[in-house]
Amino acid sequence: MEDNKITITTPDNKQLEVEVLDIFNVEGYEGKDYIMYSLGEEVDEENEKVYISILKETSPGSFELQGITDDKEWDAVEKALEEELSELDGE
Amino acid sequence: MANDINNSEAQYRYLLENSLNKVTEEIALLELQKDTFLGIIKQNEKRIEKLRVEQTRLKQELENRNSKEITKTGGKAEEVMDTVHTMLSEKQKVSSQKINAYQQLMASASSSRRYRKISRKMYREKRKQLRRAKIIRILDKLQRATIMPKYLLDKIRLKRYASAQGNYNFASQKLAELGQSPNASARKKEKYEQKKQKAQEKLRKLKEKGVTAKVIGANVAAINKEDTKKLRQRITDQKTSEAEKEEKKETPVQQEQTSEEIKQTPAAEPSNITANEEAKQEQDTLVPAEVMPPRDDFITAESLVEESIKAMPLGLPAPEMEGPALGKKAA
Repeated sequence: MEDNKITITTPDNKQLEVEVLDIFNVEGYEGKDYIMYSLGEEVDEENEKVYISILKETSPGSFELQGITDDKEWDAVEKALEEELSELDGE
Repeated sequence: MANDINNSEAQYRYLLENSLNKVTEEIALLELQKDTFLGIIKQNEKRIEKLRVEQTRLKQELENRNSKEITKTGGKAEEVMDTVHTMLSEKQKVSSQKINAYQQLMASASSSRRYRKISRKMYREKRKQLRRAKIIRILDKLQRATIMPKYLLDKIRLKRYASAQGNYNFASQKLAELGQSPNASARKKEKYEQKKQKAQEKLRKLKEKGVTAKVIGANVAAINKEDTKKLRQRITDQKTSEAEKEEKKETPVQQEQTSEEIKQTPAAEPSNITANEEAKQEQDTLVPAEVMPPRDDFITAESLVEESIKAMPLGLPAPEMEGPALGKKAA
């Protein structure tokens, strides 16, 4: 397994290997972790499709990847990602 | 034998320890004094900034009044007092002229009788002048007192503004200094490292044996490939450096596999995206996807079936909408 690859279970109980790009926090939602991962899909020549979920540890050794349904929360996630990416550009 | 030292050595060590203690105490005291002085300096700097703002505003106010030739401040009461003041001032001028005239006449008086007569007139005029001067002084004080509330109000407003602006100026200066300081890049690097380590720690947890991660929902986004590359580098950076010594041979193979797997992604994906998804990609902002309940038919669009990697046939709960790229926009 690659260093940043993990296996996730889909709702229909199929195993899927995904590449984790980032696990981060968002200002205002400090108690939550967010995970960004990729299936290697492209949107176009310059852009890659990524998936972002809330990473929640439901019990020791068991995680859930949940969708972000709250608009405010999504705006905050978007902002946090933009800041992260701009920091990366500065490196 | 280490315990068996001569008295001379013991005394020498005693002296050294004493010196060390004194030096340590003095350092602590000076550090404390330095902190106090720095605190005082900081407060002074803040105060100076506030006063500078106040100074500028007061100057501007005076210049403004001069340039606009403001002749009056206040309402009816002030107007009445201004009229009285003007009248008294005119009378004072007349009195002064009279007194000068009397003095000249006295100088050229032909007789002592005439001299005394003119002198009495001059004395009366001077008394009138003094009374008027007293009234004028009282009037000035009265006007200042009536104007004072307005002036105080303006002064309070100015002070508040000066305080806020001064604080802002002070903070801006400090930020600018920090930005230029050699510590700024170190701080930035530290922040970067902290984020990296945090992500690594979570990833390590996810990769532990027996750990399960179940997908309930996800939001889709499009990110510039350069940025995703940097993210990949960041999250694998630490692990690569740690594992390099142990797994040197395996690492190149793993990297090849990564690049091969990624290349296997069909390039024709965009064309396979349904019209629905294309329309949604045109939207300006990213919006959250609806979380779909688990269901039998997990794949929600034909495109996902076709475009998904052959080795990974599954898609994810279909997002309702997709947005434009984060980070750099495509040319």
